[in-house]
Amino acid sequence: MLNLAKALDRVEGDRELLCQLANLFEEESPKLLEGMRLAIRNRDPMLLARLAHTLKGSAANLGGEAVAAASDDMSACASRKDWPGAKEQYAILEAEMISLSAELDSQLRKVRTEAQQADARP
Amino acid sequence: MHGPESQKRRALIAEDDRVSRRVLEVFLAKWGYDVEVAENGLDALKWLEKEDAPRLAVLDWMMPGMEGVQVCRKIRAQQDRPYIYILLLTARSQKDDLLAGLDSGADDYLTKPFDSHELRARLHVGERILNLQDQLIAARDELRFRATHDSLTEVANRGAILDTLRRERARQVREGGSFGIVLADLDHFKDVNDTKGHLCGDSVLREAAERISSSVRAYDTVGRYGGEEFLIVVPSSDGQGTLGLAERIRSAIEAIPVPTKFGDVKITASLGVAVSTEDHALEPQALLQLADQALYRAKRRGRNRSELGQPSDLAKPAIARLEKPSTKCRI
Repeated sequence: MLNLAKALDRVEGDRELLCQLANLFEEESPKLLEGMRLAIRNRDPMLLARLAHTLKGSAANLGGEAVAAASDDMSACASRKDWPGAKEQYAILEAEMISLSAELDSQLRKVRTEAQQADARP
Repeated sequence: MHGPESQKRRALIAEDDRVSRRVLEVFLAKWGYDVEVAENGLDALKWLEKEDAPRLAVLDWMMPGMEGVQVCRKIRAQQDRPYIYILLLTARSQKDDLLAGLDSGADDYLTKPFDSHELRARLHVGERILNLQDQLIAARDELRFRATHDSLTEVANRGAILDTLRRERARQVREGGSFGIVLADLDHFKDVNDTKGHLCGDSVLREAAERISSSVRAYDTVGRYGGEEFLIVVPSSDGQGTLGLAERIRSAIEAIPVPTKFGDVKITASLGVAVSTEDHALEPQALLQLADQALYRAKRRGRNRSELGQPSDLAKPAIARLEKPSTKCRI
């Protein structure tokens, strides 16, 4: 689940910034995921670990705790060189990312509207 | 947040994740830092190795090119540069990671997602440490200056100018060529002190030192050798060249009276010149003796003049000058 309240708190209530971050995440995270897929295919534990670390930090900025946790588990697979585990974890991560994306979309629509309303007030 | 001169403190952010990078950029700028950004470890290292590197760095651990801890290790291995306060910011959260991070030379360690208040507070800690180092450096530089310079005139002190002379002779031994020295002694200086007081004498000495310094080339060294005596070391110069320089100094000192709180004081100087050439190389002791004899000749011939010492002069016994005994040839 998306913990948007925490995310907003972390950016000190700056809705504009939060929207920017969400947009950046939408652009970058698919690349990270794709990189992980290739790292698993090529059995590159260092690359996999680094990408998982990046995704963990990235998602955490937006309150994406499920994605962060799944990334952490992927890091663990990488350090163990557990390739079957990594493949399973990839499927989990992919699902969590889709979920997060949908939630960001709907929740941020709310945030954007709130922001517009706040601007409109005298 | 701001340094002693109220300038913005520069900080480097090294982070490969665009989202985290944006958050850091926005916050650090909001808190008044002048932010530089690197997207990988190699760029981070390049930034921190620059001569005017930012002195605060927030580094992600896992980056492409080079890990944050490796950047830390490399920066710490470099001696003799202003300290860079490094904060490792990372999603790695195991205790072993914390220890490894600090071991690599990081000053602090924060896990992501960071709390903005905590990051700000920890950056302030970093600033305190950097300010402390700045104060220490300033104090050390001042002590170094005081140890090697005359406090009244701010030219080199006696120890330092004799060191310069020895070094110049050593260079001549290695590389050949010739160099000279000038001993400049203010004429009738005792009278200035006696008639107008020592404070006036101090003003005159300061002004004389200033005029001498303005007359020499960038690579000549001026030192206060005695009460009213200055020694100038003149690299890459022969007899005529050094004598020419001595004459320039003499003119500069004589040119206009020295304005002081106690009235204008006319001053002149007598100068003795000696050179060590490839054909007639001289050790510092002999060189000083020769210059001293030439100085004595200048005094005897009416003062306000320069005289060049000849190697044959050294055959003659050293003669005490009229004003005071010559105790200056000991090094």
